[in-house]
Amino acid sequence: MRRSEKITVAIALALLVGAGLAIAASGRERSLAIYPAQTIPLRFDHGVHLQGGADCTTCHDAARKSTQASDRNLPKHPECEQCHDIKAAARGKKVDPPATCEYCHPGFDPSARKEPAPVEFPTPNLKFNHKVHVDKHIECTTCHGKMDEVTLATRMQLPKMATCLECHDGTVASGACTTCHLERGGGRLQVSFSSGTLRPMQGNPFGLDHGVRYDFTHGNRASLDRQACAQCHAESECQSCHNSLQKPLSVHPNDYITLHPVQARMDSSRCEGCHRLQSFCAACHERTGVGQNAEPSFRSNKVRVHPDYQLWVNVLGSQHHGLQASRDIKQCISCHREETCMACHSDADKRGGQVGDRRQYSPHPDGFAQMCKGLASRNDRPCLKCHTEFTLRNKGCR
Amino acid sequence: MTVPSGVGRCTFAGVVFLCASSTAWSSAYVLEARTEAQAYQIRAYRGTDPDNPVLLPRRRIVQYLGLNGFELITGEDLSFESSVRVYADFGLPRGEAARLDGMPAEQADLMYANARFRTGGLELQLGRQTYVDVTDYMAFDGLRARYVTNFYLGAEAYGGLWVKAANLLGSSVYQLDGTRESDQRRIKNGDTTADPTLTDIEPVYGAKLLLENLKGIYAAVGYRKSLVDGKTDLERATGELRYGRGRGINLLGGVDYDLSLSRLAQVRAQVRYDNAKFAVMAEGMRLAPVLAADSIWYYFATAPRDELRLRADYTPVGAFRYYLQGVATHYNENLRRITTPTLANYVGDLSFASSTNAGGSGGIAYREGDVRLAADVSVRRGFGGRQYWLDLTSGYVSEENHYTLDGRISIAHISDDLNPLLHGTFYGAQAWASYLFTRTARGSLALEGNANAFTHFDFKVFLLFDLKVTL
Repeated sequence: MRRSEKITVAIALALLVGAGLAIAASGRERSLAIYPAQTIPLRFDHGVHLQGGADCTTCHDAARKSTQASDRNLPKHPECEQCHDIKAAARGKKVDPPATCEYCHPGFDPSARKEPAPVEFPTPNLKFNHKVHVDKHIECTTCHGKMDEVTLATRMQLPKMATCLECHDGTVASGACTTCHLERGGGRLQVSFSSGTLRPMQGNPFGLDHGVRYDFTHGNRASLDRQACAQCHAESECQSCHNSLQKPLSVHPNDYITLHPVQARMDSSRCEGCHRLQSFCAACHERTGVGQNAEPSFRSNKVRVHPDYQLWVNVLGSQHHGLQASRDIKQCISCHREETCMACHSDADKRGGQVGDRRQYSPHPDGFAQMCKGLASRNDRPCLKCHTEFTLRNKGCR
Repeated sequence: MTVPSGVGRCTFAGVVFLCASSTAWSSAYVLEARTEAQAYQIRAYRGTDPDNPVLLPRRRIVQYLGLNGFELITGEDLSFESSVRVYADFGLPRGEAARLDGMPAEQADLMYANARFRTGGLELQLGRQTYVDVTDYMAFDGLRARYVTNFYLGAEAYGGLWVKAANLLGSSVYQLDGTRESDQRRIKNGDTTADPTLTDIEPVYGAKLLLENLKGIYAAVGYRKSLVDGKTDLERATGELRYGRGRGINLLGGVDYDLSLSRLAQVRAQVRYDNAKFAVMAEGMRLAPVLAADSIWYYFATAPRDELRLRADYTPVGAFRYYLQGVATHYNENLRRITTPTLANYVGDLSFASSTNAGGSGGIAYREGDVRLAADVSVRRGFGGRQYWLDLTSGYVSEENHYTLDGRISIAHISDDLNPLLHGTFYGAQAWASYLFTRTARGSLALEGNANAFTHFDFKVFLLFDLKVTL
């Protein structure tokens, strides 16, 4: 890459990161799936009203008896009229505090339009009972924060899950997800809403952050915390990747059938989440002639993948297959059948060869002789693939 | 009204029951069907015969059918979920498939079919189900019961038959690895049916003692055993530990001990710190292959692989997210030292292949409303070669999910140490568009195009049709 190209790439990256940070600073921090976007074409200042002597119940008294998240609990004209003389202002009288339509509904001209632009407060996708919380003497500010410096309240004044969990910890109050979240069939959480998809992100209180590339990092969490996954995910969702024939776009990059060997060699355990070596990989490798044990008619395309045969099989050294097999037997398994190893490593008796064959190098680890009896008593089928009853007994494994 | 007797009475009672249930029960039934059509052919990148370059001609039709029922008894959390898959590959000649063990031209899998009941701290699941824990990801036909008391303690027990490819409506995805569905000698003799020990039923059972949410601590100790023809195929003991009380430190740990070989098979540990704006994570793993005790490889001098992963996520308020990850893996050896000469003397010789891989990745993701974009860069070097990846992904979901558009562009620079032909830059693009025809039917078209020095250019087409009906 030339110097000018490097500078161009660096500037482009810097601009991208800078733009990200700038947009991030002004972005949202409440889930749209839980709190759908609102439209509030109003002018209001909570701070001014609180300083003027109002308290929460002056305008939101309904909240004390509210039992559902769909309850509005917002003031209408009657509540405003406790202080704002709307009727007098409508007759043209000058009143204090101001009460003209335009004062609270900016841009609304009653001589031109019948109604001001409507406010839209979609129902949060939650279960919530204000009354229960009020009865437990939980202050409004515990969930909604201090309003002294808030002008128009928006979604940003609705509580985040971390706030709820301060009490909903399973001890003070129920910690079950379905206490607050809506359910779908099978007792799982509803995650798909018209306003968005519910997914744990950005500092999720349970450390369940389904962040970037979670497809590739969820394994450990899933293996140790299956119950948590099952709160949202059905078996079909796991199967849609782990056992599907048409995987989602995010799983394999382009042309993966051509490119997978290098990645599989470095990280075969990742492949095994979905593919078993002997039943998936080996079959395809045999079909393409890569596998040694392929049926003869498939071997016409075969090209050697191992080093020189002598170095790979006969000469003890860094290129010997035994070293690689010890490091990662899975690479061998993805192409070879057990018969490949048995051809040389079996007892000479079993192969019908000569005793003392120079290739008869034991593939078992040090100390195996001491444990072979116990292993054979549990399951001697694999032993008898390479050994005979006679040689097993001779080795002290019977 | 005259009530008929005998069989008629039973029928009458059934009809009355069903009629009553249709009005009094609040059950919901969902029927799901997916049809997939795949058409492509993979050409060899090795030295193939120019007159016969096609290796994998794929013309596959796949049909999934799922039936789910929820709240089968009013007010009770009793549900049933199932999925069956049937496919046929018309690209693979039937005679060719017969010579390949594990690559059928047509197959039917029962992916899962189970009923689940939950009440209080009790959970019961009966039927074909998947199960994941620190040992492995498996599927079995049987019963799982879990009960957690109000005093943080609980227990889980399960038992059934392990799902294997050679069984009726079985899948190979979850069976123990290390053995084939049939063996070479049988195939040579023209017998592609499975070896009796591989088709034999494999009972599996296990149990766990649980500690649930004691001041944020979750723990379990478990045991699992499976048998084929009365002989042990797998016997493991596991320990799991988890700690988390909201933001801050989260811990995960798991140990899988192989009782047959008396060795630690797998260890996983993860420490994560979560803040509203960022998260850092360290993950360490020691993984040994989970093989069937029926496989000879299980008894070879194989060693575990160690992996260390470090990751930092920056999640500022807003639509952008950033991450940076480093990963290092090391393959260990377990070579015989009692033999002279021994391979162990050559472990440090790196002239052929390194036993260590190292690399990292970084990315930026944007998600705002209906649009998401991401860019990822990955680098890996070590055993087997070098790889540099640039991945650009995008997605758009229209309002009410009427149509979706997804795209992915990958550029990879690969250098395979074991295959000099697999070296160069590979370009590819994928696009996936779906359209909701009605509330219940969605059609998708996925296209993939690749260009590189070996296959020059190839093109894949996938068609999908999804049907989801709530009865």
